[in-house]
Amino acid sequence: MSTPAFDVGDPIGPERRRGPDAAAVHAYAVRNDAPEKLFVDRDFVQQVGFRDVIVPGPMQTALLEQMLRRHFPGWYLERLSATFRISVVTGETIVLSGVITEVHQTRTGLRVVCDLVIENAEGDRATTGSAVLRETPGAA
Amino acid sequence: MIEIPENLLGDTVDQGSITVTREMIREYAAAAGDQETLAGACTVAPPSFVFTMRRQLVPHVPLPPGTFAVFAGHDLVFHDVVRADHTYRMTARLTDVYEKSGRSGALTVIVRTALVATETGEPVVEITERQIVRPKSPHGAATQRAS
Repeated sequence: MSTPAFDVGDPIGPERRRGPDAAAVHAYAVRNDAPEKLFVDRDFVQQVGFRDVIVPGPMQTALLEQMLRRHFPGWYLERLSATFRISVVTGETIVLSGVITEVHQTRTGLRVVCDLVIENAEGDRATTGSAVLRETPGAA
Repeated sequence: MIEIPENLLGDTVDQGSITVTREMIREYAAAAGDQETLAGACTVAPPSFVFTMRRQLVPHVPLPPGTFAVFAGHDLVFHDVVRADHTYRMTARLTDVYEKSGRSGALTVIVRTALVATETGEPVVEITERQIVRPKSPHGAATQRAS
């Protein structure tokens, strides 16, 4: 068996980036047939207590998934969970990161479990999650 | 507490079938800012593509006046990747509705499960979604927490 290239406690990221802006969220919501007011109507979201239109949870999931793909190129994503604790407002700076919590050597390669988080501009853990990934033959 | 129409809890709803195309994957990747997928042939969908297949949160639960709902989380289990030029069947079920105490008072949690399967019924993706229903609030940014 090869020496694991990943270990418990290894960080994933952090990746600091600007969150999707209102135009991107609008396009995403329309594309997914989910033009809910929370994603497209600034007046409505302010009326119900948000600062601005918010980033849909699945769009945040897509960002986490893309970060995992960069960190584990060619690996297979077996599970992905997310809890959207605090809404992410369009255009705010967010930080995506993770940490490996388990590494398992299997007959076919490594399997890792990791915790994930998206921090909002205030440093709050807006989204938390976890993922399980499996090394695939030939993965980089 | 939300009134759930009789027989809605536990009933499986057939969301029909969908044939995934490269163009659908490409359009999704563009909307999600997924440059890596866009740079490829778009024959395999990124995992979060399942949300675009699922589209609506069904079974639909009517919300009481003065409330609104936010998507609070999900668990996805992938048995296989979703591929272009393949047809998938989707079903969904309302599995639980319960109340919990949040920072902004009592909240209702709606739990749905959905399954993306092959035409022959082999599971491809299992989806569990949690939606939180809460009262509309005039208190500004301090109420942005989902729970």
